[in-house]
Amino acid sequence: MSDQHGQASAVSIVVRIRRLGTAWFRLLFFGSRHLAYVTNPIKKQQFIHFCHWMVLTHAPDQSGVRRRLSRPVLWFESNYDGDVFRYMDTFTRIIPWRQRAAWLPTDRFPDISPPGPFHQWTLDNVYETTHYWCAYPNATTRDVGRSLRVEEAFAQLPSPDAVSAEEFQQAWLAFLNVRQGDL
Amino acid sequence: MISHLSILSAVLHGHDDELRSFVASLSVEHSPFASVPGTHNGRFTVVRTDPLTRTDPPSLRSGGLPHPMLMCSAVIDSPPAEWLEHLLSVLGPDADRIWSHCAGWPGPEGAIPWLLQQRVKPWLTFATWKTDVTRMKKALQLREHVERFAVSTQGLAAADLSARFRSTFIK
Repeated sequence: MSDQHGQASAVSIVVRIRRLGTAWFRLLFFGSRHLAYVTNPIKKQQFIHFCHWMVLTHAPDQSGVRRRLSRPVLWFESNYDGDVFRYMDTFTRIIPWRQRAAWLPTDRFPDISPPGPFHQWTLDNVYETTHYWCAYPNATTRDVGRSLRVEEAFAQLPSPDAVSAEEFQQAWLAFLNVRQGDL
Repeated sequence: MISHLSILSAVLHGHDDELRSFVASLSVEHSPFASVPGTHNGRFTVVRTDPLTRTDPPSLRSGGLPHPMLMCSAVIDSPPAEWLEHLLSVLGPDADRIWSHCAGWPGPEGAIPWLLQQRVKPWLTFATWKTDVTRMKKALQLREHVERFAVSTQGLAAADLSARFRSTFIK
């Protein structure tokens, strides 16, 4: 599969935007950038490494010159753990209204519920990634978070040269006690 | 500072199959992105007129784009121009094998300004962890070492634990 590298998956959704959709996205993305409550639930789920949304109003033509598109296009790319249906369903479950808002002004969007037509719409607009590479293919987004927390706590351990062996053992056991969920 | 770099080029009429075959032949183990410092992930997507299961009429194909497109995108820690310079030097002649199928490609000489011109700025970006790739990889490695150390030192006396810690983590 060219859209997977280890545990990491890539998805690209490319879909035309309906009338007034560009203004909708401008407003929605402005809110998402400035209001943490929009993105916090996604952060908490810890299954997306990175993603981004682009709205194309222009694209290069056959002479390489940028021309205005007859209709703008939404181009969404994500790097995440799992498969695309689980990805879309997780959004639907945790942030249904925001999920709906993200796709509402796109062509033929059938709504997020029931899942059957939504899955078909997703398949219709997903483009296969031709080549994909990830720097940490064996780590899920959750693994990265665990590792960063372990790294931070580990840095707080005293050097065994600076304390007695008993004090060091106590600090090590306290470290394990606090961070065992991340190991 | 993490950037989402996306470069969109128009694929010349009739070139999409050849371009797709070449890009698909790049191996993941020796991916060009692997040798460019500061890369979290990278991808090439050739958007043709036949996505996975397209049932729309032809007027709606290519996601509404007028012709096939090549998207080269990456999440990077370095400035885009610097990153592209690295990518082009890693790709060598393969850069020409990719973008010569695209409209307006000036050849390797004028590649960086041309690629930067083709850049599409994201309207919204999201990252669960806004950490540079070097630190992420170090942290992942450290966690593995700590796990192994914790298992292998269970029940050791204080002096032995200190000594093992010193020899494992302090070199």
